[in-house]
Amino acid sequence: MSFTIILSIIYVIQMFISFFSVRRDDKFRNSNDYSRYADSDNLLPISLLIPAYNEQENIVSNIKSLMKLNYPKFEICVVNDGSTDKTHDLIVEAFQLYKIESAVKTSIPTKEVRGVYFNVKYPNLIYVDKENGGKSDALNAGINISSYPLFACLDADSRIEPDSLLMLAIEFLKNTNTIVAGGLVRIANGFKIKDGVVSGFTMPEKMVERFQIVEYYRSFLSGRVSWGATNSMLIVSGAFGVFKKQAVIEVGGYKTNTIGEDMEIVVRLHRYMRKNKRKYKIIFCEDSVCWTQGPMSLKDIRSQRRRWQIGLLDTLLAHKSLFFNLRYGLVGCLAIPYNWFFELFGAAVEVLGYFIIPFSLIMGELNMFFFIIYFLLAVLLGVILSIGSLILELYTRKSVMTAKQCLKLSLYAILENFGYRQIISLFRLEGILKYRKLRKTWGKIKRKELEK
Amino acid sequence: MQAELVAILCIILCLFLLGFEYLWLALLAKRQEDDSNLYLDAAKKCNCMIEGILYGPTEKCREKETQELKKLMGDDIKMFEIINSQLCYWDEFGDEKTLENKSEIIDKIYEALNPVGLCGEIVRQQDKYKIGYACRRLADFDAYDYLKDIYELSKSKNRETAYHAAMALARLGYTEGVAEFIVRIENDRNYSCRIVNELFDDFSLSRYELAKAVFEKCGEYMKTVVIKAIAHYKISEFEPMYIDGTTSKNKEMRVACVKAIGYFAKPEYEHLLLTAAKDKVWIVRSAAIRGLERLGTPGAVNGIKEAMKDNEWWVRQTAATALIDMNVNISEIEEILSGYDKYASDAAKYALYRSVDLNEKKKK
Repeated sequence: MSFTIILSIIYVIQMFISFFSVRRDDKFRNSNDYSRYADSDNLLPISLLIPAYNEQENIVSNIKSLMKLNYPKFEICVVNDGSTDKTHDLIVEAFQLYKIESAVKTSIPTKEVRGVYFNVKYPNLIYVDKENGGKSDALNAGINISSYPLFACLDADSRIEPDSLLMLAIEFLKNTNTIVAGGLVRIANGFKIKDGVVSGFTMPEKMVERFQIVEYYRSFLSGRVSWGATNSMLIVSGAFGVFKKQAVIEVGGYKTNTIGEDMEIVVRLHRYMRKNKRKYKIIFCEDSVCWTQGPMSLKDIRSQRRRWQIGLLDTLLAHKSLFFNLRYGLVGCLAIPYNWFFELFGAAVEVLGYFIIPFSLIMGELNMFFFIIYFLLAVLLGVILSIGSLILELYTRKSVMTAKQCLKLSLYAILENFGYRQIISLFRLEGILKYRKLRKTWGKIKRKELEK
Repeated sequence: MQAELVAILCIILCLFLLGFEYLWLALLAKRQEDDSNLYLDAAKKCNCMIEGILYGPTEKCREKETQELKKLMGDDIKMFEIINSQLCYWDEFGDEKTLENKSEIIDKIYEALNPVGLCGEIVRQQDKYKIGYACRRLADFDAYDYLKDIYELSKSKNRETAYHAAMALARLGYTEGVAEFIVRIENDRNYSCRIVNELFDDFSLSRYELAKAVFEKCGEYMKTVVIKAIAHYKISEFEPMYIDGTTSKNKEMRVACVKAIGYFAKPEYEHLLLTAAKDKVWIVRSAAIRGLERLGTPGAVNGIKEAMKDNEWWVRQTAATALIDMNVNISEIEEILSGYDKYASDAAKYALYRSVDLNEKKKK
């Protein structure tokens, strides 16, 4: 229980850091008129990499939505990672693509590329069909085929808001040391989205979806904003992040034998830059939004959370030498130990508590009064954190919720402490326990068409 | 007992904090909902009012309605932006036939709303959150009266404020102020490159004068940045400097000058570009190929064909794309496609495939 309280206190501190950062950005919003850059030649061109594996439901509409992005120069590189469904046929048919002979600079080795497809009518769309090698391998193939100095990795089932890319790209202009800029991932469940633009919100039907909305706000608006503010953010979501291509090539591209490639690449970049004493920035931009569909059943959440936990463990093990290593500054001394103690073992300690505490109560080892007090404290801190995230959400001004909906959602910030949180901890623990068995499997999450 | 007391106190504190958060959340959510409704209503109201002013039967009617619009705007910059976007729309797409004096009326509305006064007040009050916006807007409205204030702000220690002020100075065409700013940020390599590009793009008076003023005071690094930024403006006064620069020992200077020379597309520079196309640094070679592409002479085509054998992938691709974009005789490309050099052939094929509509060819 003490562990939970310490963790909650850390989260509350993070929330305060995030609050000042978000509030400051909110106040400067009038001056940061990014729309002035919409047709500027000074913006660096971006390659959008979309790895796709069995994404027949969303892939075509996603490509069409990306084509409407508000950005002066970009290309879309879709990489089909040996899909077994109709993904390949749908893309080729929808855009009338034809196979071309390509001269690709192989900066990072990948599985065999079966073909590169193109249609002169869509000059900024390139489609690569390759042997199955996993998401990382698909991203590496995308890096090889891309022609611009920045690339954005996007999920095939996500939507980015029209101005999001512009906001992230400006970060590379503001500070040339920026090597990665991550955007805010929001749960699309319940939101009405058309071409990445949100027009309304209705509370999703399922409880798990409602809990996830609160959870994502907490994770991104509280966690990532604060880590980003201290240049020690260890993960940029695989669903939406912009990278300097040269930096990623220098570290050897995405690691292929891991399912936590989004975290691993960021940690590796931190490590490489700090080891070589190079100035760099890995930043988080909460105004730049990507919408993704959260799992709609506990079964899918289980698969997702296990995967996240395995990815985390994989990355932490691969970079264990960073643990409390002064040479790596805040990353080595704070971010990595925090992830070991709280994000990784946190689930184990929490689940252990669920068994030990009742047992101790029955055995008379634990004072009932103390138990109630500590339990209340842990729950209250958790709720403070979730409500705080909802406040942060309102400050980012992306919310299309009514006041009533917002308050209704806040109830789920309380309710999640009674059941949902415990279940999630179990799933996370399962991920650690089944690390060896599941570390190579992706697990498919059932999704609906995002814009329907 | 003491530990219990501390725990109870912590719970009370948490409950207090939670209550405070809930209150904050409720008020904020309500305020945002009210705000968005307010601005939505205001947008509709503004549109009606602007229409009323534009189609007003008499001058008096228009004046009355304009005053109402001004009252609605108050000193809210967000409201001004709503009105501004609608005025811009009317100005561009408004009914030209019935509204003969449309532009005149719109000018009068702006005069009455006095956005310059509103932004000027923000600048003078040094509101750090809105000052960047105010500087830019003052420049948009050619508010030369505030030039001195904006110039002072360009010296600010706050990077963002200084940047916005400098951009405003560029828009207002204040050569000395902008040059001074560029020289001041010379050593801040983190952002000097992009700012120099933006400043020259936005500069409303002679870019030659501005570049000259910068060159007089800056070091070699900034000189290369400025040359790259102004290369596409083809400033003939700098041609001798560019020619000298193509043989500089500094590779960045060579890149900048070759790029600038390439933009002139003068046949007399062919030999310079052909020499640069054999430079030891690939970025220089690539810049030279782009220049040769613009030139388009037979010598330039041969130079580009030669570059397709380059060791560097990027140079080969640049050369292949250049050949395709130049619409050279297909027989010249065939020679490369069927040639012994696989690298050159691959590069040419790739560029060719990306320029021809194979769907159309199949149909034919």
